[in-house]
Amino acid sequence: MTKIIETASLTKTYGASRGINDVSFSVDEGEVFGFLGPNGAGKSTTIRLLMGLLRATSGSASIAGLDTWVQSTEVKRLVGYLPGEFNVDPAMTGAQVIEYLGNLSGGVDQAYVKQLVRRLELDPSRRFREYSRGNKQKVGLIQAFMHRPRLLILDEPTSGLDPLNQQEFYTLVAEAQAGGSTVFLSSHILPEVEHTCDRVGIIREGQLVKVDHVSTLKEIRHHVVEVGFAERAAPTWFASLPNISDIKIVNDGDTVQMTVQDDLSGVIQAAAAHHAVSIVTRQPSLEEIFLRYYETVPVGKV
Amino acid sequence: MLRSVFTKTLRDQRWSLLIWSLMIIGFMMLGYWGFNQINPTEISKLVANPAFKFLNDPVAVDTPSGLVTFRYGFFFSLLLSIFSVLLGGRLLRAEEARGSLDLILARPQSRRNVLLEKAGASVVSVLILGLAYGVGALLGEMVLGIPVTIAGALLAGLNLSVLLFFYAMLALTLSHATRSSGAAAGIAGGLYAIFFVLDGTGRIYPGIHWIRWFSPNYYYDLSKPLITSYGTDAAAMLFLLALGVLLLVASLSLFERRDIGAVVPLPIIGRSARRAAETLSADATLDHAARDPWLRSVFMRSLRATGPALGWWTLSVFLYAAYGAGITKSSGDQLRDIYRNAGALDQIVGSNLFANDNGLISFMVFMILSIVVTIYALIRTNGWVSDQDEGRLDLVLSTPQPRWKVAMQTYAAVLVGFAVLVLAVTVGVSLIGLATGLNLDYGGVVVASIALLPLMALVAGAVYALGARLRSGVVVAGVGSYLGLAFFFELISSYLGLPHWTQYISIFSNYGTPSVDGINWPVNIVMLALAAIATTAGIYLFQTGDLRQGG
Repeated sequence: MTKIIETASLTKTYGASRGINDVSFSVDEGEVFGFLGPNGAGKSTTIRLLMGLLRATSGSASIAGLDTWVQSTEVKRLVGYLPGEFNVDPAMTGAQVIEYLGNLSGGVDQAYVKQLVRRLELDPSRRFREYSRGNKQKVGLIQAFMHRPRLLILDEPTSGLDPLNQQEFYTLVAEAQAGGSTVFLSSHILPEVEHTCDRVGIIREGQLVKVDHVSTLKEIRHHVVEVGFAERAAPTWFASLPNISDIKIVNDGDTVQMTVQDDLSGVIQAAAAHHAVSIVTRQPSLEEIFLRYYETVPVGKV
Repeated sequence: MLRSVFTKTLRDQRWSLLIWSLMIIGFMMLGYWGFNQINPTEISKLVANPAFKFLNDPVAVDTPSGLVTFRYGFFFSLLLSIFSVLLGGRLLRAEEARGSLDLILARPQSRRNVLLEKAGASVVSVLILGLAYGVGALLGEMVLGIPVTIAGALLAGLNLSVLLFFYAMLALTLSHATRSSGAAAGIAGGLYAIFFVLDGTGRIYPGIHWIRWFSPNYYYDLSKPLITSYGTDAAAMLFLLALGVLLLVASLSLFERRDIGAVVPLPIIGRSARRAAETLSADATLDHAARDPWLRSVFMRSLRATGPALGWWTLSVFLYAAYGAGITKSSGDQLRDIYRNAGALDQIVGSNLFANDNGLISFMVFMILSIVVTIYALIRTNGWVSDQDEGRLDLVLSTPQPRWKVAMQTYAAVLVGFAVLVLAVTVGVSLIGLATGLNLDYGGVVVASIALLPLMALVAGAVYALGARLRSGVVVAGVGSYLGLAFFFELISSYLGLPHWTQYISIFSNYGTPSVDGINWPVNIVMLALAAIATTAGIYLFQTGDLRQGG
C-alpha cells in the first residue's frame, strides 16, 4: 500500500509552550485516518505542519513523497484542506469565497461545486459575515472537496454542522474514499471516528500515544466485567488475579466491577468460588479506549 | 483593566490615546511658539480670504490664542472627529464581528449596562483628548511667556471633547444600521463632511448664515474659550452635549430591540438589502461569481478589496491638492509676506520656498500630503498584517499558491494604490493651476508627486518587514509613532541647529522640496533601495516563518 502521509520524529516547539514532540506515523493511500486528541494536544499543530503553514523545529513530514515545507506548493495541488478555524474577507459572499479559492487552485468543476452546494444546503449569496458557524463550516467543506483532491485534510470537519449535514459529510467522505482519495481528519467526536475511520491516531500532550486500526483498538481484549453476588462483595477476591485493573464495588456493595485484559477464566473461577449470582461482560467503546489512553498510558513514543 | 466592560474598552484605546495626546500637546506648544515668528497683522489679512475663512472663524488671529484657536481648533476638531467616528463605529460592531459581544452578553450583564459602560469609556477617551488640548494650550502659553488662562484652556478642551462625543455617538447610532464598523464610520465621516461644508459655507456667505445652524460644528465654533475676549457659549456647548446624549439614548433603544449581528434597516440601506435579497438561485449566484474578474487572482482580489477605501483617499487627496493650488493662487502674495518676515519659521520652511508658485505649492500641498500619503501607506499595508493576524490567509495558502507569490501580488496591488494617489495629486494641482493661471513649473509638480512614491514604499516596506513577525497593533503603533515624530522633527530640526546628517532621520526631511529643487536622486535611490530591502526581507520572513493562527 502506498503511503501518502509520512512523518518522522516531527517536532514543533513554541518557546516554552508545548507544540508536538517526536510524532511519527504514516497514512496509507485510500484510507480514512482519524486523529484524536483533546484541545491543545497538538492536532492542529500537526495538521498545520502537514499543510506547510508551520515550519517543523525538527523531523520531517511528507505528502506523496513531497516534503511538506520545501515542496509545499506541489503538496497543495494534491490536498483539500479545512482548517479548524478560518476567516476570509467578511464582505465576500459564500459564492465569491468558493470561486476565488477555486481559481487559486487552478479552476474547478463548476457542476461539482453546485452539487456540493446543494447537498450541504448552503445559500451562497450571503456575505461571509452573515453566516452562522455551521454555514461557515459548509463553505470550508465545499472549498476542501471541490477540486476532488487526492488527499483531504480536515480539522474537526463536523464542528458546527447539524446532524443532517453531518450525515451528508459522512457520505461525502465515503464517496471520496470510494473514488480513491485519502482522508485525514481530526475530531473530538469518537463515534464519528469509529463510524468513519479505518485507522486512528491518538495524540496526547504533543505526543502520539497510539496508532492502530479502529477495529483492532476495539478488539483489544479489554472487557469490563461486573460480577454480582447475593451478599456484600470484597475487591480482594479478585485483586490478586493477573491482568485485572480498576476494581471497584458498585450497586450497594453486592457487585464487583473490573477491567480484564485477555483471558476471563481466572475471573470466572474466582466468581464461582465466591458464589456469584451473575456475570455481565461488555467490550469497551472507542471512547473508553480513548479515555484509557489519557488516564493510564504514560506518554511515550508509539 | 480587565475588571469591567468600561475598563476593558478604555484599555483597548490606551495606546492610541497616549499617542494622540502627545501629538496634540506637541503641536499646541509648537503653535504658540510659532506666534512670535510671524507678523500678526499679515496673518489677519490672510485669514480674511474666504478660502481660509471657510475652514474656521478668524477671531482675534493677531493674538496667540486667537491664532492657535484658528489653526489648531480647526485642525484637531477635524482629525479627532475622524478618530471619534472610528471609535463610535467600532464600539459595538467590532465586537459583534469578532463574536466577543455574544460572550459578554452571555454574562449576567444587560445590554443597557454593556452599552453604557462602553459609551462611558468613550466619554473618558474624548475627555482625555480634550484635556491634552487644554494642557497643550497651557504649556504653549508658558512657552510663549504670556499669562496662563487655566479655565480657558480647560474649557477649550471640554468644548472639543463635547464635539468628539457627538461624533462618536453619531457613528455608534449609525452602526446599528450597518453590518460593519467601517461602514458606520464611513457614513458618519460623510455626514461630518456635509456638516463641515454647511458650516464653512454659512460662514463665508452671511446671507445664508442660517444653514450653519444645521451643523454641529457651528455649536463647537460658538465657543472659543482660549480667546478671553470671545469666551464660551455654555448654551451651545450644552446643546451639542444634549445632541450627543440624545444619540446615546437612541442607541440604547435600538440596541435593546435589535438582534445581535443584525441591522436596523435605514431607508437607503434597506433598498440595497432588498436588491440583494432578490437573488437568485444558488446556481445563478455561483455562475455570477464565476464571471467575476476580481476573483481570478490574489492581485485582482486585493485590488478589489481596497477599491472603496482607495476611492475615498484619492478623492480626498485630489480635493486637497486642488484646494491647496487654489489657496496658492488667491493668497500667494500674502503668504509670501508673512513667511518672508517670519524669523525662525522662515528658517523652518526655507526662504526659497516663497520665491515662486512652485515653492508655495510645495509648502501648501506637498508638505501636508507627504504625511497624508504615508498614513495611507501605513493603513493600506497594515491590512496585510491584519490578514495574517486574523487567519485570513490560511485558506488562500492551502491552495497551490507559493507564499512569496501571494505576498508579491498583494504588494503589487498596494503599489497600484500608491500610483493612483500620485496621479490624483498631480492632476489636482495641475488642473487648478492651469485653470487659475498659476505660474507653475509643471515638471516640478510631477517630480514632487512622483517623489511621494519612495516615502510610501519605505513605509510599506517597514510594515511588511515588521508585520512578518509582529502583530498589526504593534506595527501601527511603531510605524505611526515614527511618522508622527519624523514629521515633528522635520518641522523643528532646522531651528534646533542640529548637525546636517540628522536630517536623514526623518523621511520627510529626505523628501525635501522637490517641486522647487528637483528630485534629490541619491537620497531617493537610497530610500527606494531601503524600501526594496525591507519589502524583500518582509516577504522572505513571511515565506520562511510560521503562519500565525487566527481567531
